[in-house]
Amino acid sequence: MNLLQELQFRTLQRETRRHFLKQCAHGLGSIALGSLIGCGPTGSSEEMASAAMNSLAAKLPHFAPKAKRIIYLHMAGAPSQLELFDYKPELGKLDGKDCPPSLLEGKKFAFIQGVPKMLGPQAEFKPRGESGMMISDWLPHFSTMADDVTLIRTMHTDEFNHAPAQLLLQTGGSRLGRPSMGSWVTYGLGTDNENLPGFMVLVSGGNTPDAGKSVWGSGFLPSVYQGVQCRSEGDPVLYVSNPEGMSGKLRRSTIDAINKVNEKEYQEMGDPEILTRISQYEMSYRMQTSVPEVMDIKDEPAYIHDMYGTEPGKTSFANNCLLARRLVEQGVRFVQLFDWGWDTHGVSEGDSLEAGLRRKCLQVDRPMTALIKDLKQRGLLDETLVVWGGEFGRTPMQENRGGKVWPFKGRDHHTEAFPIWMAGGGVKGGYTHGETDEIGYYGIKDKVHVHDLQATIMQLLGMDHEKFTYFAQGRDFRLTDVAGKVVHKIIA
Amino acid sequence: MEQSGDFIVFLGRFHPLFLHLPIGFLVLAVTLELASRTDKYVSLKPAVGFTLLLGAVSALVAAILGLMLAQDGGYSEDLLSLHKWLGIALVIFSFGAWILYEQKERRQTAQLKKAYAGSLVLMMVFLGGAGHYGGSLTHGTTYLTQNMPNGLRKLVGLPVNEGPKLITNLNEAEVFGDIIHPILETRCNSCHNESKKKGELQMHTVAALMKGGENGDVFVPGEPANSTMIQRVHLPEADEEHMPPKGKTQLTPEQIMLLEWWIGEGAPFDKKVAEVAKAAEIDAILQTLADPDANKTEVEILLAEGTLPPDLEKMNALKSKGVMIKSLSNDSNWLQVTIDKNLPVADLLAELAADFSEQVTWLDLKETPLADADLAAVSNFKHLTRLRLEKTPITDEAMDHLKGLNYLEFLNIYGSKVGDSGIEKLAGLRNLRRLYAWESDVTIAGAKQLEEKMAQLEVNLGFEVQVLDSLTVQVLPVGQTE
Repeated sequence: MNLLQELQFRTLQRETRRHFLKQCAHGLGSIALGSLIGCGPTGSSEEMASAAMNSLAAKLPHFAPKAKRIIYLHMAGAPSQLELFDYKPELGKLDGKDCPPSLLEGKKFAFIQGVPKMLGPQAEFKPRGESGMMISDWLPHFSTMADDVTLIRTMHTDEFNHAPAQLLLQTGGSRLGRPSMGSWVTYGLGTDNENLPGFMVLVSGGNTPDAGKSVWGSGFLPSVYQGVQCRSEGDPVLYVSNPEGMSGKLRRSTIDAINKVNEKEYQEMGDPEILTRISQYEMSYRMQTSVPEVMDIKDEPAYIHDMYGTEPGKTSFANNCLLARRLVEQGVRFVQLFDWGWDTHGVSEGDSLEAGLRRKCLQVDRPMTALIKDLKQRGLLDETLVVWGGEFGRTPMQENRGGKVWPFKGRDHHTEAFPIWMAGGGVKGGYTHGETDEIGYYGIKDKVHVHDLQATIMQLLGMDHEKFTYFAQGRDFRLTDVAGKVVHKIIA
Repeated sequence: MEQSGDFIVFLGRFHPLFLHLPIGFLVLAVTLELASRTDKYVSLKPAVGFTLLLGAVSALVAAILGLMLAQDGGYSEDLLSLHKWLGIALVIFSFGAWILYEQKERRQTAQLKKAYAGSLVLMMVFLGGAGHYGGSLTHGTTYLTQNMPNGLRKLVGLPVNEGPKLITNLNEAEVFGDIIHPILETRCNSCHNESKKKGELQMHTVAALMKGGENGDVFVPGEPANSTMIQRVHLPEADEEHMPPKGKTQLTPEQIMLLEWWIGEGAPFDKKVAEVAKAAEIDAILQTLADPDANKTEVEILLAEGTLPPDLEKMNALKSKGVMIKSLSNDSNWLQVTIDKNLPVADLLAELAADFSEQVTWLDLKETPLADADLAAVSNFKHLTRLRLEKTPITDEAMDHLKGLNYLEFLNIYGSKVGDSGIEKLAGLRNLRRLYAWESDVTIAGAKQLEEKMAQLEVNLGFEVQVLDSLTVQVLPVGQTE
């Protein structure tokens, strides 16, 4: 008998029934709990490993896609529809009057208290293009695009605070833990360029969205599908370039060695996150050359910079728009832009409608228009879907936070009606979808819920949102949860 | 005494639930009887009598409940009386069979045995009959045969199902008879017909439709928004009042638009399509009634038709050489192919043309060092619908190879050396809709000339940027700046 066996034998001799029962109390209990809540492995480790491998391979869409790629421009903070896309002359007549109680009964607002005053539209509107779509004077560049976009005026959501509403819009659930739309899409369709991540994120406006990085997280999907955030200043992706003194060759052999260890570990453990790690090392190595190349906008001609209003080296929405075009040109599947600063409550000059919102409009109007036109002249707009919008809308009432009358004009959060526009990728041009009531409070025709929007985006990308599921935590999940109807009317 | 009337109907509605008991018991009794005649199951014999009695008593209860349900009304008299009398006959014969069984057990005469066997057979006949007509009352008379395979239909002498009938001459078609009535027939009549009138409403004839139901008129001519029928189809599906009820096949958006159009035009029963005004949207829907492909382009029809499955081994061989080759979708054999700029494009293109000339429909060769002659291989892809040749060094010569691509819908030659005489060669491509020629040698005049020849073609020559002030630019399509 060798030493180790003898040790085990002795230990077992000392173990009494009492020891066993004592350990059982929490040992068995926690095992039982684990299997009850669905944490435990359900299949053999081999099965799990092969399932993980399959989930990393690019899949085909359910039907031929209208759009191959998507650029989602998220205006974090929620722009006011009443100043930009929802023309309500009747609201102007009510300006300064007390809000009727019928609009307040049973409602919860983020800041409005008591009886607020109605607030008329602060901007002028005009019919634009052949379609006569009503667009505000505050968006002079975008106004020329009326015949190329579908405008949905009757979006509505369930959440009246930024973080949950952003999560609902981007992940289909208002709480943390769900994969974002971009993760779902790259999980479902893979990437067309193996030198770049399939899902890239660009942030401007000085802040990340209120919901944090979870709005581009991968939730329960393998983390290889999470959005990769790029910066337009300094290193585009942090820590991707070699530190001083490290040569490319040395980096390569380091990665090779680490990957070998990881592969061994994966064969033993079968944890899909190890595969993610391997592919991330490989990807980051390739990204050392591919990312600086695609992120360098200095080589763009002057007229392109004029068109977008870009300044190389700065962090701006304009630069991000130009980068978005460059990324989809390289085959990136999902480009997500977040622009912060649209939360116009009117409690300071900076977040007022008359100054703050106008300033935000100036920042985005020219570049977002340039983006559509630039994609168009390159023949990319037909197969690239561009989506623009916030996470909810704003009230037709003036905000009276703390029961006070504020010196600036602002509006509170509003869930019942907000606009989204889409261009390219198989949607109609010059089409306005849905109608709101006379003051832009409720949608009264063709309402579109956030889940409906997600279902429609998936449809345009060739995915049936009801069939596109992922098994996690004991059940199948999908982006649209258990809801969502495709809005066929906006599809060309 | 309205209260007691309601209570009877309340009890009566348990009829559809209860009636399954006698069916089960009586079928079991006959099964036991047959089984007990074999040696193995002879011990089951004493159970037959008890099961028969159970069946007879439950049949009686079911029949009484059925008579109560009949008070509810809304059923076709003929069908109801047939079902009623078959049911009553079943009650009598099941009791009869039980009595004969008891008699037979006491006095084993041949006559009693025969009578007993006969009563069992008749009982089963009445059971089948009552069950069948009861089903017809609830689900409609065509419920059973609706989805019968055509082979079987011929066998039993039913007319063969030919799918939705197409209208041959749209202008001469009757608005109600040929367009509206078929919608009502497939989506409404199973509950509102001759034998079943839910909500006191029948919709199978013009007269019945005009008469309306317990909630009044079905429609108000000229006012679709005030017509009960239209209001009900627009209610959320979960709503109690929504029609067709939750779970039944719903009307399509097009069918709803046709109903609204018909009512909006005064709900005519005798007019022809040519005599009624119609918006472009309605006209497009009407066209599909004559030809389901009416609103589809040639390319859409081609892609919907499908193609032969590609050779997977050869596909994998190309993939291993770095070519991105895959189906458009899971359910399609059409292929999309991208050849990267760093690959030997001429060789790969020749290989692709040899093996996948049928299937390739999207081809992306952007930024590759293509020579004009290399495009000769592309002429083999006769089902090509999208071709990307942007930023390649091709010239006018290359366009010769595209002349036969009759399904080509989308062509991108921006950043190439193709000029006006090159795109002139595309004039015969009847499906070409988009031509991207920004930063090529194509001129405004050349693009206009081609657009004049091809009505549906849009040539994009890019945009011109004019800086107006530090914050404003004017970005207009080339050729539109003053």
